[in-house]
Amino acid sequence: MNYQNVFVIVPCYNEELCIKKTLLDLRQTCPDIKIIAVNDGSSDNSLQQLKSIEDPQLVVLDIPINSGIGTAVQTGLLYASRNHAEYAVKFDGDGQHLATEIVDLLNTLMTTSTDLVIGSRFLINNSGFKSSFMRRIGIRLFKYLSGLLTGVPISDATSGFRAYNRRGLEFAAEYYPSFDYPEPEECILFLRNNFIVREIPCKMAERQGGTSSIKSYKALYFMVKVSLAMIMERFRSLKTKRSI
Amino acid sequence: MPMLSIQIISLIVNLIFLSVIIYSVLKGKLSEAYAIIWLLICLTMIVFSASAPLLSFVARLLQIKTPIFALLAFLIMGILLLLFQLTLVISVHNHKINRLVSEVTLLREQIERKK
Repeated sequence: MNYQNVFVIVPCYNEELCIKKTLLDLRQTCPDIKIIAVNDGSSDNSLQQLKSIEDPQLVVLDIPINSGIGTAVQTGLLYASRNHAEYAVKFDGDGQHLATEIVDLLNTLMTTSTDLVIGSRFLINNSGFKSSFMRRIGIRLFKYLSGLLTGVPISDATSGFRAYNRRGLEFAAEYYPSFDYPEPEECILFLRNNFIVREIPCKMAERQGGTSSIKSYKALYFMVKVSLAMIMERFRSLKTKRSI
Repeated sequence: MPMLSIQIISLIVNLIFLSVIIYSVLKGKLSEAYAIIWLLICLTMIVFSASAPLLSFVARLLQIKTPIFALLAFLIMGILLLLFQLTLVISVHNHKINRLVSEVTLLREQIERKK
């Protein structure tokens, strides 16, 4: 399948150990895609690793100050949207996401009327790494909340492995929650505004390098903050978001 | 002023304040990350304002003679915590703004050089 109009956004923060391998794997699996690597003010050699890759279809966006995953992803989405991408995929730079799984995400977008497709670790039994215990508690909570708030329980709301069609991309580029832990909030944002959101099963690996941004002592803050954000997103209008 | 009146006033004021916080978050003027501590302070004040026996119990535990002073003590501690959190955030933002200023300056120089 021709993926020339597919942009894969890879946010990167201090992933010097695995970012090069991640992007090379991605290129090997999907030769036609455009890769947008967004360096989020890394303090290690991630930027040097990115610049050392010789790939005419690789764009490196270098955010000068560490601004968080939300800003990094939104920057990538804006780039994709402004450069006429038909589809965009969000792909983590830590080696957790498998390049081979992108095909299933894109097939779902191309063959159905889905605007946002999310790769879920919890729809099949043997889907590889399923995250830490505390994070799984959070994921269960968010599934319950998304069902309560929108009628659609999202089994893996924190999954960063997701893809958008053009309609979903334009919307996400404009309104992406650009603060910490944006993924569950994005699910509510899309569902609240009548976009079609679908989950498909996917496998993920354990992170290959770097460290997670959600340390164990931040787990409680993560659950409270994300839950509050999901509730507020349910009742916030788009008009309000435009005026901020 | 009798303690009960002060507690009722405190309860009403805090309920109004809670509405203001929620409204501010809904309108995007206050982000959820910073709203959490405001909500904690507000809800603590509401719980203690609404329950005189609980307030008296906590006051006795803290060896505070007049229970209403315990309410004031919680309020002051909450405000101090909030101020400290805000100064931490401002410090980080200060650093980031300074760095951004440098980056923009260097970018302008690069653009001028290329003209």
